[in-house]
Amino acid sequence: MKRMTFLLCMLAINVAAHGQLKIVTTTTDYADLARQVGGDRADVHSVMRGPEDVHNVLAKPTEMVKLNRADLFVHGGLDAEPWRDNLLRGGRNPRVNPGRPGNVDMSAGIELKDVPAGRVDRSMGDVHAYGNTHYSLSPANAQRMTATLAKAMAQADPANADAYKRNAARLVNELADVSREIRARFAPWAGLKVVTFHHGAWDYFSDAVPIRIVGEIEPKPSITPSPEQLRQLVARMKEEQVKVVICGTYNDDRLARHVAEQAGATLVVLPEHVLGVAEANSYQSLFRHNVEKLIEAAKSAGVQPVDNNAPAPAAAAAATTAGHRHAH
Amino acid sequence: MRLRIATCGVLSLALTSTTLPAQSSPTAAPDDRLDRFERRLNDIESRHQQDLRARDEEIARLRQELANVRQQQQQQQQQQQQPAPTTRPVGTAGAAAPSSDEVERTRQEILRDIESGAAAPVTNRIAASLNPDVAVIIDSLGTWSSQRGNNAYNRFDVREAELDLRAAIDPRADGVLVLAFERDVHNPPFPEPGEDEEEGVESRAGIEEAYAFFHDFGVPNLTAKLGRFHLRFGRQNVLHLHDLPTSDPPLVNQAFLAPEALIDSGLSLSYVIPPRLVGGQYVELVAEVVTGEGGESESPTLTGDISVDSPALNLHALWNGDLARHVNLELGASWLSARRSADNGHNVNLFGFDATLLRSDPMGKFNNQLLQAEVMHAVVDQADGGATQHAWGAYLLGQQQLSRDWYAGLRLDWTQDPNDDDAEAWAVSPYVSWYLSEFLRLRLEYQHRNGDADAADVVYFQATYIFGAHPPHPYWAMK
Repeated sequence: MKRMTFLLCMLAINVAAHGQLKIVTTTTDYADLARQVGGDRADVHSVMRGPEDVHNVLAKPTEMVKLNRADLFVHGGLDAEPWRDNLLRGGRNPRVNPGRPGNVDMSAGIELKDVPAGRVDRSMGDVHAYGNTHYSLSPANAQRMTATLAKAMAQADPANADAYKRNAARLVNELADVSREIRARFAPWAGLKVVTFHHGAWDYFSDAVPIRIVGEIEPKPSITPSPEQLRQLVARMKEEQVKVVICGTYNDDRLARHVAEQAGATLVVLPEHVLGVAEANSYQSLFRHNVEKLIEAAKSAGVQPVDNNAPAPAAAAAATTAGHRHAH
Repeated sequence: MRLRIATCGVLSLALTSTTLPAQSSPTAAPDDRLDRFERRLNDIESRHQQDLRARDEEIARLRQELANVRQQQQQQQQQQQQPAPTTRPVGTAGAAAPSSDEVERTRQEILRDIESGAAAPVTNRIAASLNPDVAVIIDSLGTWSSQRGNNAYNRFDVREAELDLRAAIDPRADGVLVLAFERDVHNPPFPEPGEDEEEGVESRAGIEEAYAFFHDFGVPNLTAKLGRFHLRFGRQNVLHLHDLPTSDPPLVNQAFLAPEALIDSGLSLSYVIPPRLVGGQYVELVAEVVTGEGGESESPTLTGDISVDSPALNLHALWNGDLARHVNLELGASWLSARRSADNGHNVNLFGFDATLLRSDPMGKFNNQLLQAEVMHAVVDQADGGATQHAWGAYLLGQQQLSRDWYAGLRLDWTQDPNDDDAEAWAVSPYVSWYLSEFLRLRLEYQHRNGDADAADVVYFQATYIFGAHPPHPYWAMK
């Protein structure tokens, strides 16, 4: 306890000496939250650039230089960042090692999906042993992460703790507004059937935006599908009348386009992270961008919106057919 | 109750009626009495109704209190059952989006949590264990060649199986153990006359690496390895055989260092100069003191003679910087100095220069390029009394990542023999690697070898797979 207190004091003194709280994050999502909470008081650097697969980020020595001077290292906590240990080892900064106050695990408090209940092995693909790692694609989870981050920043920089709390409260309110806004915006397309590329990537997103994920192009995490598996997927899409295919910015869009064309569906490329595309330059705009692109894709595929203000019998009928919508 | 009162009233009336004839009073008197009696009855009835209303109100009040108590108890039970505030998923994949109430509830919970400053709630995970991360790596190689005289070609074998164990020893140090089980045929770039015909398949098990890695022992930016490890000489010597971008190590590495990698036992210190002192640059200095025996690496220069008592010294300096947002350059220099004989009369000095240029895809689409080169110079005293040899060697490697799973590359080799600088060898090796998954890789490589040794055209087929944990690899290996 004394050691922890000492480390916290050292952390606070370090911040006081340098003026700005130096934060290195693994992903652009955490970096954006840190910037919104920290404002001018935080100097934030993301190892990830935005469009790439978080699993394949190159943890170069130049990133280690940044980590060497960091007050906080903010990461996903689970096993989506296999390069994280190399980065930490190369950074040589005991303040941000696991278990230290400067090491911020953003998965804290997140209720994870797909937590394996039994044996885990590679026959399940590049399975994540702790659960689905794509939890940042949810405004509700972003609110939780904001709280985690604000507390860590307040602890590391007590002099500005009130400002961090204020900014965090504002951000949480904004994220709640975003949550309501995208839900209302997407309501006419609620239940839209989609096929996604990466296994489990959009499961948390579907909590906030009511899409219905019918299948994935990758049969198992990070496993390229065989021609037979693709044929089966296309047949299923036709049978279930799936008209939209979601592909991440780093996924093989040629393969996704092939699947979409074979099934008579529309392909939409969506960023999974802030700065995945230039328009998604903040957490809020990431969700707004994705919802607008999904609606564009649905319209392009000929999916008709449902009038939610229709009289009760019609609304009931619309709800019934929501899961069966298709182009005519 | 009403019946009893009515009965009382009737009886009273009857008694009164029976007494009336006995009384001799004026006609008005009985009427007054009847009136008074009637008023009394009305009073009694009125009080009774009040009592009834009061009692009903009391019952209602008690019922309300009971309901309130029950409600409070239920709320307390719910609060006890609820975990610390988390972002409850509002539905499973594809279910309905959160209602406004749920959004509001989450918002309120998070705001309260921020204000409280309480520690983040613990996320339930699968049970942790104190066992090390375990990985088994199997590397098999098949070769086909037009050269029938070399026994290393035209065969297929599991050339190496590795057991890789890693875990924290304590808060300051990690432990690494790599056990290697090898089956290979010796195939040096500069074989002694008749050597390749004498060699058979060599099977052996040994410790490839075993060291404690001290990452936090009080000196900022300093780390240390103590034990047996790959020497930090250049870029490819630190890689295990299965991690190489090609099927075999560069010829210069085989000729100057060891057929697989130069391994030895000792102490390795690594220091990163505080970036603020060098303009924010990454500059790493490595100093290694090892036994100098070559650690059974079958090194042509550090010959593995255990009679050598003088330690060897290896120094390595490395600079890494971003030339542009997506272009990274690494430059390194190495110097290895050792004795070759027990009387310290023969020395070997190896000098190395390496450069690695990496361009990563700005769009994250795996369109990454790698260009790597190493140049080595060897000054080697000859134990047989011959003149000191001054040899040079180099390789150039270019690699293009075609997609997430496919890589193509070309390696160019040229080297002199460090023990006979008149002899030289060169090779051209194009290759393609296919990762069926991150843990299963197939590779096809063609190699044309030429020089003073026999020329050979060789096709390599390599299959490498890993089961278990995810062992670390250098950033530039890209996979």
